[in-house]
Amino acid sequence: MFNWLRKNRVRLPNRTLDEIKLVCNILFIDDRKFPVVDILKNAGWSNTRSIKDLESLDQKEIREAHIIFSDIHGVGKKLKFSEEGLGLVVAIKEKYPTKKLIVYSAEEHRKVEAFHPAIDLVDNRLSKNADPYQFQVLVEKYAKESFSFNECIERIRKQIQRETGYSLEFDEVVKNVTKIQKSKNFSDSNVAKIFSLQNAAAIANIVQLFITGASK
Amino acid sequence: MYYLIRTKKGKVLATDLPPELLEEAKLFSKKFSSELCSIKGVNKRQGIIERDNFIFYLCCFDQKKTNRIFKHQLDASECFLIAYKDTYIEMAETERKKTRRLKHNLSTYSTKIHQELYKLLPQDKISKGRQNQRELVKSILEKNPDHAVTTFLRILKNANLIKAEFDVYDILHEANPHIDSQKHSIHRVLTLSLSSFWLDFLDKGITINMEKCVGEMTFDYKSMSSILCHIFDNATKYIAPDSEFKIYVEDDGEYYNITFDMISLRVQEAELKKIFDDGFSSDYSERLGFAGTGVGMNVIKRLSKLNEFRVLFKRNVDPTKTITKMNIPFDQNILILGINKTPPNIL
Repeated sequence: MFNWLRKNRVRLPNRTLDEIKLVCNILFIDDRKFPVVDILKNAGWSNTRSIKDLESLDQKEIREAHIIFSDIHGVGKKLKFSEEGLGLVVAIKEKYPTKKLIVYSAEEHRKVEAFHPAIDLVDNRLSKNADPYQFQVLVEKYAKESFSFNECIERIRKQIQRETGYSLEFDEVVKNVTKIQKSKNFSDSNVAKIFSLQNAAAIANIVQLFITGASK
Repeated sequence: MYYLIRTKKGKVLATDLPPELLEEAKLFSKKFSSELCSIKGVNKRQGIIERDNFIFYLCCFDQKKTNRIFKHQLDASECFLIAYKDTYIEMAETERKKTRRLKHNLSTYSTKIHQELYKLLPQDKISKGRQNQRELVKSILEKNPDHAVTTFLRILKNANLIKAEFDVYDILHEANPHIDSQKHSIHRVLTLSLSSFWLDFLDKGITINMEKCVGEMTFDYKSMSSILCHIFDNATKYIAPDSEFKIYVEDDGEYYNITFDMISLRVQEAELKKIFDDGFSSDYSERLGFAGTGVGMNVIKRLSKLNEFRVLFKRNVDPTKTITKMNIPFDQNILILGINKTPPNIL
């Protein structure tokens, strides 16, 4: 009896930072070789890739990436965006709103801001000369948001509170997420049913990414 | 009517002259003239007034204006030229002052990098036989691994100091600096900043004790790393040899107080008021030849103010801990950096 229960018990992933490093895909879009790519790889972020430019918004590298860093200059040319990298990041964010997008540039922050109002769409921005630690901090922050057990459960709780005004206990959220994992059904309707919500698109996305590593 | 302000050497500072009249105006040197203008084909009145190194030029094509009125207007411009000159000199001095510290420190750090490199790789040796340069450097590194490690770490320290100088310049001299408040592990940021100075502390026989430096705080990394770089650079210079450097964090409800506690070179009671002033060096640091363009406390204070941190220096907190080494007095001095628990919305 107990063996049967143990066999059928579904456990949610409880990843350490080192395990998160193995599941998180990071993409750099830069027409020049950027040393931070190797610095991140050496720090254990083994799924860090770099491409010189994007040929299509459906390109495999962009579809698979969880965190995207893009230079503002010298990219976006192949897709003929009028404002190069800034046009590119706007297009990426519109197509993949849940992916974390960070822009960097050799320009001063204020010059960049003055250059394009759409810079506000991105999740963060950095100077190209920033300390490599600052790139690592952002990667850790966004990777934990997507793949850490505690942070995902907390994000779901906050999302429910934002949408409904009600707060669910931590354990209640864990129970519901476990049910979703067991059903292997990450559809909005199934997630909405389990959480008793009308619209569960955002939560379904958080749960699917956390459990499978793939976003919708 | 058109004007031009230039230096005696011919550098144009301000003008509203059309380009075709510019060259003639730059060369004009009489007090006054009224003659036919070959470019416009009408009579042109022009004149200059001088003040020190500055020249104010005025010209007029208004045929109704008399010589007397023109000269009167030219004379009346003198007070404007004086005000312009004073403002220009003041602005130039402010700019020079901004870059003076940067220039001095950058040249010091880059010189140190070269000296460290050439101590390991003699300039004459590596400049000979260029085709074998790689092999030669490799063999020197293989023969002197300990020296190579020291050199590498000293270069890293000076490269970090150069970066901190640029960061400070960026933050303090921008009208609206970008303050990017993010959560950071304080232990990680402290050890990252300390790592460049580790070797210097070891050389002085310092024991670093970082108890209770745990938790996350929200601050702008660029500002914080520059502040820490200045604190640790000062500490390596002024801490008493073979002593303990304690770093700990306390929560007073409003601030996380990072305390840097050490037995360091005496700061006298009368100097306390001036310790955060620009260019200040304590009496003992001057005597020992440590002072550069000031001890960097002013930079710490200004960066802290911008980030709404609190910075406090306490001298000789426990007189029983005062020691004297080689006739130099060292007291227990502490620097407290308070990080606001509710991060300000500075953007």
